[in-house]
Amino acid sequence: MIYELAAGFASALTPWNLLMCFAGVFAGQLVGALPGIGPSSAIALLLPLTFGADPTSAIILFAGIYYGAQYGGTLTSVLISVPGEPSSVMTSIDGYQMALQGKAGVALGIAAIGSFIAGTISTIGLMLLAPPMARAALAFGPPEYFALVVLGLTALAAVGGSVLKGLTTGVFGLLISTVGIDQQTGVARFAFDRLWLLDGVGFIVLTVAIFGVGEVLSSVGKPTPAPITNVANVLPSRAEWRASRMPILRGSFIGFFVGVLPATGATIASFIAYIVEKKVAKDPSRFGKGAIEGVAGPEASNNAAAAGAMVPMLALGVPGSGTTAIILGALIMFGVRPGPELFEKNSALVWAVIASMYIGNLMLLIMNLPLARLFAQLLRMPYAWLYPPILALCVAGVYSQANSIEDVWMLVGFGALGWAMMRYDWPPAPLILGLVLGTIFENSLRQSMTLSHGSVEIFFTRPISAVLLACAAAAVLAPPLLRMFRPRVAAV
Amino acid sequence: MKLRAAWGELCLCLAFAGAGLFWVAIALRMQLWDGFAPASGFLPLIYGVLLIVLAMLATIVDVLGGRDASAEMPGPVGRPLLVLAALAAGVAGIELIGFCASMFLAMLFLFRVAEKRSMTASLATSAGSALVLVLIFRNWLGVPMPVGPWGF
Amino acid sequence: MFTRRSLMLAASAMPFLPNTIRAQAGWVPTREVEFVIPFAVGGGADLLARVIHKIITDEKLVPVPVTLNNRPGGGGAVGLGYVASRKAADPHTIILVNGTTQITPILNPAARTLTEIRPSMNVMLDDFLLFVKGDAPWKDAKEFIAAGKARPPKSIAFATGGTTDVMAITVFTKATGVEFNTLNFNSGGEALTQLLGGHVQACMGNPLEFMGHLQSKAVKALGVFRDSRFSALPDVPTMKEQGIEAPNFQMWRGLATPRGTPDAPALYWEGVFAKVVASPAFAAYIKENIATAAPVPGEAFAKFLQDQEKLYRDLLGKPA
Repeated sequence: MIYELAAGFASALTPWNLLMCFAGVFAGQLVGALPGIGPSSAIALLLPLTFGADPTSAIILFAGIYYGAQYGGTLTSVLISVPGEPSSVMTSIDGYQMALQGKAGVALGIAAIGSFIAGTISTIGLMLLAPPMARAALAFGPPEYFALVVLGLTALAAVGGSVLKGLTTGVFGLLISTVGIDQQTGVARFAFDRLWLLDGVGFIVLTVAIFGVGEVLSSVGKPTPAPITNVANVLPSRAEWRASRMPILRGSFIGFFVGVLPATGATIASFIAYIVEKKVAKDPSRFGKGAIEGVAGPEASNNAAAAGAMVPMLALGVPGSGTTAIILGALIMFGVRPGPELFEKNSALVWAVIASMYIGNLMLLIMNLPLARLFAQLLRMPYAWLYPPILALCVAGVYSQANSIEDVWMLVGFGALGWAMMRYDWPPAPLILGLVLGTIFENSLRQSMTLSHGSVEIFFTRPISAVLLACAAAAVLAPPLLRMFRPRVAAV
Repeated sequence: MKLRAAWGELCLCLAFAGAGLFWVAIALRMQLWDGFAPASGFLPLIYGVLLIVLAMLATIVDVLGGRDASAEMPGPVGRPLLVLAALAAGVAGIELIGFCASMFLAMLFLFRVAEKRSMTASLATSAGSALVLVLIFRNWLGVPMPVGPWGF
Repeated sequence: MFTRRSLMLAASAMPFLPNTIRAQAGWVPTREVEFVIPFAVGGGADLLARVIHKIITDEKLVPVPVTLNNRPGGGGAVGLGYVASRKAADPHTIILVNGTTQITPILNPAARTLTEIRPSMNVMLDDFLLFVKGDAPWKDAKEFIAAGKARPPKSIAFATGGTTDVMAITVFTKATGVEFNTLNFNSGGEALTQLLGGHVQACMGNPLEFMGHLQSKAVKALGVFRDSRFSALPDVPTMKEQGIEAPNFQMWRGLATPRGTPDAPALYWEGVFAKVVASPAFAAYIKENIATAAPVPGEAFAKFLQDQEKLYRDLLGKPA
């Protein structure tokens, strides 16, 4: 392994491959920061240009775009509350609050450092554990995914303020997830014969609307703009670093494991990381008000998930996410047949890509710390100059995702809803969570029931599923039980 | 007084409950169970019922009941509505006069009318922002942004 | 249904049309051409469109720039709806069409159907194979069916990656009388993962996703739905060879212009697409994707689509 890794570094460190790696992470950073356009579009756009090139260089480029985008998504989330990528939605909750408190630089800094650590840890994981991890991921059938999603759904009430309001918006998100063609039957529902509703409400549309437009509308209605101070400091203080250390580590592991599972990805990983941080925090009430753990955990997690998604791709030849599916397609175009033997048959390519991931993450760290300082300066501008271009960016981003003007109209409508929700303290995050998890929740439920011939026992007799459901039950029942226990102690 | 502060929130609750009711009404006409597993209408029905119940509960408990005394009164709605209207007008203009021109006008309107900034600075910022967006999205990323009658 | 021979003949007739004939037809594009892709950036259909776009651009087959416009949504319905409403009879528009864009309107009447386009050229066909795990007890499709008949109905579970896979299973069920349990997933890749994990017993899919695993013997192919063996996989017997009367079932991908395109531009585009299919770059694409080049121009393509429509409607139980 040492020998292969050394050979990989030798290949990744050639000037051309270094340039490709840099071009990849730079392009990834850019498309990551833009809402709507994501790494998969960037790779698809570049793919025809790389035909005939060396496959190793091309895959280094594509991988760079993929994990680079996870860094880029943070930028717009923290600065203007417009998540550049679905996986940075959770970052925008506490990251934007930190920015409002004058700590945008630190938020971006800890995100970059956390992403670097997580990217490195998960690349080590990819290097050492890929084949066994990939085989373990195969154990996830429909019931296991169902249980995992149930665990995620227990967070509906946890991510916001009022439990009832959180549950309501969460169920509303689930409800929206049923719009469009039903994957199990191929027939549309709740689409009202509108073609543009056949694919349902886009996740990007809803997040940019609720977080981006909703936040703008809510901010212009507030009498005094938040004071912005000390934006230029990007290095966390000792206390901030101590608070972020463990969230970064936990986020790395959560992200890696969730990323390895083929049907889940960076978005769900970042949700789970946020929830875990909130559950383990001594004072969960700080979350949503600028807690640095709420930035460090999800950011580490989404970056680790990008490397995790490479595991099934490289070790099994099956896509670990939408973006890796495109990279797999690219491999085929280069005449490399993805399959369980990729590691052995094309070990030079695989190890060069792994080596490039160490280099690329380092490049991103070096690039992002000064960039964080630069972009944080943006917030010194009065909000009056910022929000009209922010709205135009939201429109451009949402349009570009599917070249659809109807999506932009949905942006306006859901933006108004987001404003109303923020105005009356209805938490927006559960709405997004419901939409993300709704599709996989329904599909895995129906697939499982089909598989078991209608028996729900399947969820409890399969060990992984049973354990995950037990965790979900504990997550729901533990807080009220603890609450019942505590006052009695106090009364004694 | 309390009720007046909350009327907007009541509307929001009603909207959620209404969406739930709508979903229930449609889901009841769909197939609920097919063979071994739930069919298309099953979960939408459950979501709809849940949403109605939750929205009602939220109304009773959070909005009408123990509303935080310290909760600040929501600010005025005038300016947000103006911005929303400008955004909607800008979106309506995209298909008529193209993305670039429409977003330029929407931004100019916001700078001049909503924010009362100077004409020169407003013109420069709107034009600059619109051009940068077109450069990135249309020229670099190849997004076919709608163009107006004069080709941009 | 088309025989391979007639496809070949049609193919060989087209690319060598002398330029004078095209000049007589008297139409060349005079402004930018829009190439509408009714699928999201990055999928298989999008990739095919980008390869075709690159061939057209690199070999300068068209004297004007060709821009790509992805209009994803609703299994191609959004893109076809866009062409129908904005681009009717506009010869400066070309659109990618495939089996999915034909199936969606059958299931969702709101979706625009292929009547909104003028078929120009089919370019390729994808095969369907019956896959099981490498260590499965069945040696061929006959044993597989025997196992299915010996157990209660729906005991064998299939994972599918889309509507076309479901239809292949319907073809199989109709031919054998065995009922299967079908679990639908988002993509062929996900279906393959479920098969490898042992959560389902079989998959019906295109060779592309399964090829690497076929070579490493992680999965094996029990049969292919075509009349003669597939040259890329000569060891896989056809269903007919194994006594299963399943029709030739392949998924087509082609190109079209908007409905109402006049004859002269239609002929022009047929000529361009014929050159695309004849190019070495396209041959390489076909080989890498383990597909079959199948150029079927104009009228013959329209007829082919009518036959397919009837077949799909029969399979889905939705007569016109």
